[in-house]
Amino acid sequence: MRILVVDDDSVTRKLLGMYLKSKGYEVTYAENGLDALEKLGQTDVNIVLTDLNMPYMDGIEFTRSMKKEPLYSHIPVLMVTTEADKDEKERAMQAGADAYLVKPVTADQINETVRMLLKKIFQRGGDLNV
Amino acid sequence: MTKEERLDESVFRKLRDFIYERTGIYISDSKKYLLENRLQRRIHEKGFKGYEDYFYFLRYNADGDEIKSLFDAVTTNETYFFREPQHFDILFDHIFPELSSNGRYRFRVWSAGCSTGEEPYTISMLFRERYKVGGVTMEIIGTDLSETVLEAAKRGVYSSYSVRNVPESFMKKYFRQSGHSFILDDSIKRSVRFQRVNLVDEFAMKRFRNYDVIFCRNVLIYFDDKAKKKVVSHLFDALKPGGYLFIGASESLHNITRAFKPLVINRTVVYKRG
Amino acid sequence: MKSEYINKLVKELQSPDPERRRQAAEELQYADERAIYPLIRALEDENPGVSDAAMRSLISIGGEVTAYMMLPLLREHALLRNTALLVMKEIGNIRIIRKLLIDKDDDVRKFGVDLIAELKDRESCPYLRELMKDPNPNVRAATASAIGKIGCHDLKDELIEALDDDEWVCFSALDSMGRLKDVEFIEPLSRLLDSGSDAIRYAAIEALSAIPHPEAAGILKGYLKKAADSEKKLILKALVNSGLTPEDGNLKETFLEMLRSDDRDEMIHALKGLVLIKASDAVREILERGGEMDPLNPLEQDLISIIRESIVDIGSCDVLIELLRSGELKYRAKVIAIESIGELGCKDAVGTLVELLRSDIRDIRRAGMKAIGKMRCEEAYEEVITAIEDPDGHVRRAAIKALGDIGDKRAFEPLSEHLKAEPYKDVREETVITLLRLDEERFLDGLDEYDLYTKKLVARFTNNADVLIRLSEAEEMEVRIEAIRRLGEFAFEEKCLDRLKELVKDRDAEIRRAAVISLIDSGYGEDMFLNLLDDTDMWVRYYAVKGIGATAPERHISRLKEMLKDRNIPVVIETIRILKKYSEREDIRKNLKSLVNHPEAEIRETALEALSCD
Repeated sequence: MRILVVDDDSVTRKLLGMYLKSKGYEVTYAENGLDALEKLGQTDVNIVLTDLNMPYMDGIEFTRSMKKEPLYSHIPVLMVTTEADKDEKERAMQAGADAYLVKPVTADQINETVRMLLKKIFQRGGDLNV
Repeated sequence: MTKEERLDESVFRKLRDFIYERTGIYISDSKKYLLENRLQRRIHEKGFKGYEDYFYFLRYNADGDEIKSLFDAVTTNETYFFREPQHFDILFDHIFPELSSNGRYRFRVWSAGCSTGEEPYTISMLFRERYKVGGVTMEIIGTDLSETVLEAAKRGVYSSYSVRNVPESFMKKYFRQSGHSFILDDSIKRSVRFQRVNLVDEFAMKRFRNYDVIFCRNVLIYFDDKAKKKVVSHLFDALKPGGYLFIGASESLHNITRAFKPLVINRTVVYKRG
Repeated sequence: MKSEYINKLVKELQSPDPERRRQAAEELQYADERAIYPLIRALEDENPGVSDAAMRSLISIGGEVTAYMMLPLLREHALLRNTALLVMKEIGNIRIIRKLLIDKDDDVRKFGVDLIAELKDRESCPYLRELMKDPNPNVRAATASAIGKIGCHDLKDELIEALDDDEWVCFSALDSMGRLKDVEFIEPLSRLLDSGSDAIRYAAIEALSAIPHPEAAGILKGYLKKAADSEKKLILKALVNSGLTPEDGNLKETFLEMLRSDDRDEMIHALKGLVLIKASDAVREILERGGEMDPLNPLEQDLISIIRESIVDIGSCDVLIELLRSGELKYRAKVIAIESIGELGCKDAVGTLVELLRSDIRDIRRAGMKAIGKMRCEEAYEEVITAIEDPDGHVRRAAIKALGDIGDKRAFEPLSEHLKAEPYKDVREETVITLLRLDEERFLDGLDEYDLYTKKLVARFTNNADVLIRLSEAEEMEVRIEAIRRLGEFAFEEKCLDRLKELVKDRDAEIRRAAVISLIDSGYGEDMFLNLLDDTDMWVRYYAVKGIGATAPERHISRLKEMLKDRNIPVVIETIRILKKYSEREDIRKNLKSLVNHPEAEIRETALEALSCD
């Protein structure tokens, strides 16, 4: 199981990575949406965890691009952001995000949500990219 | 000049800034020794005693020729045929067919930072094989900052190191061995045009327009972010809408610009101009 | 830029053709505030090339007004918001950015903190103190992070307090502690080693490993037994840095695991660790790791050198020789092994090296030959002499150098023959050097028949003063110059000094220049330098000034003062440098002061520097 963690802040990436690695997931990192699109194409990833505010390509634009690509559109997207704004959340979900968490997040919150998204994939009978 | 003369920090910084201003190339601290070695001979040839004297010469006294020699000293050269072959696969399996299906029959390719010519010649040979039947032509230009390497490219004489990745069939068809060297067939040599171009020179870069594909591999690593952004923006302008940019496998544009769309084909990243 | 032109470009921003819109956006980088608002609108252009150009132009225009106009965009949608942040960062106007710190919106305050962190503005530290008490945890976390990134050392207490805050904030504080590396953090950090959270423990270990204090290292060593695998690696990194020699046998495995990492830092620490524990049984793995690197990639080149140095530091000849004999190593790893053997001087390796000289792979032949040369293996003479005809130029060169190192005079004949046919310049150079080393007298016998290039080489490398004088009269200019440059080394011999006295009066400036350069390091020539201060050639004057500086400047202060008025900049700069030593003198200070307003920047700076030193 591999998760792509996208965030422009190195400390945040590290912390989220630690939360996920402690549950046994493999983690790939990206700095922004463009970096993430490149990494998606080069590595097989089961879930994407992304920040919203990033330079060059933000989380919403990234999610939209991802969901347009037949190769990646089935990969669940969990947005993890400081933006508590309801409108922002609405926009994110419309862009195709599957879940939305507001920072600060705990290890449990992250892992619960990830587990829930993985269950969805199983239930869909989808290919896990494994 | 005695070999003990070392390039000291303050002179190194002055040289580095001088080079950066004119070429965008940033010589990092870890590469200081390279500059030291490369310039040593030149300094002696010009009749100076040390690096600082030479710097003053460059700054206050030198003509265009000397600056050219300086450019030679800072560009690194060693490359080889069929380097990072996955890019060529994408070019011939995806990009050219796409252009063809859009009704295009003349392809324009630019090899930026081509050094001694291996890259554009590789593309030319592959094109020769793929499009044997004709009906499609390719115009390809190779450019570099250094005159010396371009002269070598035009001569088309290579070492065994350079040709080590060339498939047997291509060796037989396009190279002729002479002593320890390998000479490229005339028809391939003639198929590539070479020109000296400085990638950060806005004025010079304006003349490059309407290219279908640009190769700029393992060149951007020599620039700092600021110069990289400048160069990449020039390359964008040089492409036709829908055109493609290839950079080195270990490089990325994700913190340089959002103007290109990153496409991943066979796990390889290629940049497309929208 | 004229108003009409700006207006024209602004209109173009509405063109249906994206190419023209982009060009207009690009061109507006040379405009001013009048272009800001249209460019902001262009940020939302559907064509990414256009919006990218608009962004870059806004950055280029820069200034306070642009930065100010970014502020309202922070409340817009994601694209505008994040582009505005990027522009503000590039413009770097701290005053405007500080406005964000007191904004009502939590996110905006956080953006402000992040920007200040990226710009590393120390003077904002007092503001950060306040923000550590911000009601929003994301703001507090960003602030804790910023403290470390900027280096606000006076906010140590705030960081320690933050350890009791929300985990998110605590984590950021820990990251900053690792950056500030203050010993006051050791105690609070050690308490966190008992934390129930994996992430916190790991971050605490990381912070402790960054603090270069024996107490921190001691705490980590004590914790080692309880540590999880990932934590172990981290601790070992720290211990390796403090120079402790771990004695545990099983640490080798952990280091080898770290060696396989893609992380450069981890690899380097692993190598250091393996060297400290003298893991000669890990040499093979280390070599193989080096063999995976691409020497053409500048990023990996350094790593290859570091790996080779590590192998040399471990210093096990037997293991290396055995590995080469067994043929298990792939070629790049082999090359590193051979190079290491050369550095170590493993005498027992000669037989194996000689065999490797027959390899098809040029890099192996090259490395082998260099190693043989370094070790001066007389036994390998036959193989080396054959190799002077190797197809690869580098191999030939290394072989020829090796012959010089070995010193066997039998090589003279074959090398003389070879010189006539060798196509590469650098190999010919090596050949001449070696011939001179082997038997200078004999080689010089044929001096008159040698070609230009060979004569130049003789001039460059001979230590025979008579030959140099002879060559200083050669027909070819290049040869003369080379010889003249060397004469200074023999200035203690009267005949050489006399020759130089003639040469400084030569009609040709290039000759005079070579002569004066030659004299500078010799300690002789004071009178000659003095006369040359009036020379017509700027570089001769330049070096004459240098010469005075090297011999007896205090005797010629008045002449030097005159040189401050020379019309060529390098001459003036050099003079200022020499007079710096005498800058307490009133008269000199006066002269230097008058240069502080010189039109040429470097002269101003050099003069100021000379005046400021006591």
